[in-house]
Amino acid sequence: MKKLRAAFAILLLSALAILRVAPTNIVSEHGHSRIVSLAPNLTEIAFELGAGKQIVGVTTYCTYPPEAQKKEKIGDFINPNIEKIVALNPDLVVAERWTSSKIVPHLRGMGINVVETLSPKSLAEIYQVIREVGTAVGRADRAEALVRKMQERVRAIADRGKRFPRHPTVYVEIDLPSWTVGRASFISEAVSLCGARNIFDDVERPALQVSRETVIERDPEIIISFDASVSEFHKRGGWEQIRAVRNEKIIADLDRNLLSHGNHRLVDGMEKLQARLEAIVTK
Amino acid sequence: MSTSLRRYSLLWLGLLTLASAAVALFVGPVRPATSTIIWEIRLPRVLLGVLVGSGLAGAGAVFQGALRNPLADPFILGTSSAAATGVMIAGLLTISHYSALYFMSLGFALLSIAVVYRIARIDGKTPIQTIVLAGVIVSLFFNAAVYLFFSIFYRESFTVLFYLLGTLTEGNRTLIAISGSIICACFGICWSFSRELDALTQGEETAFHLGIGVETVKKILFVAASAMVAAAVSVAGMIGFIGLIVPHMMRMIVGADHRVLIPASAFGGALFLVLADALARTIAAPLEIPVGALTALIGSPYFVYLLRRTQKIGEF
Repeated sequence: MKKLRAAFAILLLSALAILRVAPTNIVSEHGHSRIVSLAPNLTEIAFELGAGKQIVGVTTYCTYPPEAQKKEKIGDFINPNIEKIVALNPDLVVAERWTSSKIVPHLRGMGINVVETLSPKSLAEIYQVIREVGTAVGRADRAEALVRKMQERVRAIADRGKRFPRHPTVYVEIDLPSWTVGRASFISEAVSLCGARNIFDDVERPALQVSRETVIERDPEIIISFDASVSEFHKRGGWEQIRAVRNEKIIADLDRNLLSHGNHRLVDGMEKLQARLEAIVTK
Repeated sequence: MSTSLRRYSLLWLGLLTLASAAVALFVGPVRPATSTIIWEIRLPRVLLGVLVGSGLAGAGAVFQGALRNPLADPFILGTSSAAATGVMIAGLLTISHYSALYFMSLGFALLSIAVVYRIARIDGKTPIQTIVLAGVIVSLFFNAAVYLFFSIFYRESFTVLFYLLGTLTEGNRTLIAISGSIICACFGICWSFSRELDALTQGEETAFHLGIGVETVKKILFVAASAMVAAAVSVAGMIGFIGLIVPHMMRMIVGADHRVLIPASAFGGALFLVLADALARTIAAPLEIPVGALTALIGSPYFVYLLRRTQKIGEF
């Protein structure tokens, strides 16, 4: 009798264990059907790969493509609302990797499948992020095709860039007061492929804050600004003598999201940027 | 107010805290909430709110009493800046495991207590003024280190920022348990030294003549209160206001007797933080408002009201 009870108990326990484990392992053949994205660049990739329909939640920063704006909002990039995420009952959460993000360990602790992509620092790493997202959403083939298409366009951009009569120097201001990018940044890589040269590409770092006199000293021909408007550069003390400011070669109207999100749309941004650079160097 | 009335107010505060915790379980951006959300997300969050709120407010009461300074807050001895430095160094070492950040932050915060004490000790004694000064110096030093880091590393500095953003979203139960045990133990220690603390607020000399081992008591109280703060900051980041204002509120309500004031502050801090957090995650859903901002926003007018009514600020 005792043995019977013990056997029954074991049976019950294992049944419970199976019930507990089983739901998290079920993935339909088309990949996950309820995806929540915690970063705008990943949302854009997922939509591009045709997984838009599977996405059920995005951040308030996810404004592209327009369909993304219709999705349920789970908070912003810095403060995602965990209750909203869990209530959407996702079978996959994609997030950009931040060690200090409290939410990813929490979600994983609740048995939710979270894929963290790296924060890309180069075009090669952007390709990797796209592949990672592709694998996660069950569209590895489309991701591979997207990467190949990007590589083709990047090659064309690079060829065109090489044919520039001269390669102008560029100062890229990504944030106030004077944050710029160093060589370990895909923005710097993109600028050089387009046929220009980042004046701070001697610094092996993704981003750095430079003193404004260094910019005057390095005297860039062109300024690309993500944040400050053209007139603001004229107001900066001593900057009137910089070639870019003196000659009105300040590009401040490019869509910063194209150049800064670190995904397939970077190529669109590069093509736009190259057209502007070309107009300057061939005049 | 007689002592028995104060005892009752303690009971009331305790009941109110319990009630607010229960209410907070059912308040949130998702309605109706599933049992998963209530048990796995809100319960740890409410528990964390109780622990952190009572830890910060309890430590605030101890610091204000022992330092005889109405402006003393739990971060006055540099504990939080040291915690930030710990997270920053973890970032520099590219430590990628999340709980490592917690232990770095806790470790540095605890270490800073030892440093402050070592700096403040002169001829085997640690006068109140030197403790405050040592705390300020250590705090400024660690702040400078963090600012330096911020100015050099752009993306990496988000790590520190994210980690120290005052929030109760920590979901790792082990980390909550570690911080919780430290807070509970240190709270017990502080409470058991209430009488000595009462004497200290009369001035060290008076305390000495009352037969109290002033140096030992101060050491125990500061270490215990700072450890509480270290545990709270490591798990919930920088949540301001509570540690500074709640003890003042409670002093107006229950009086300056530390045997009542310390637990009352703990209850008040818990009550306040739990309610503020419930609001923070609900009013602008799906956005979460930083709970520290909300505590100050609600708390300040209430504090002014109490102040106008009792006109007893800063009396110990």
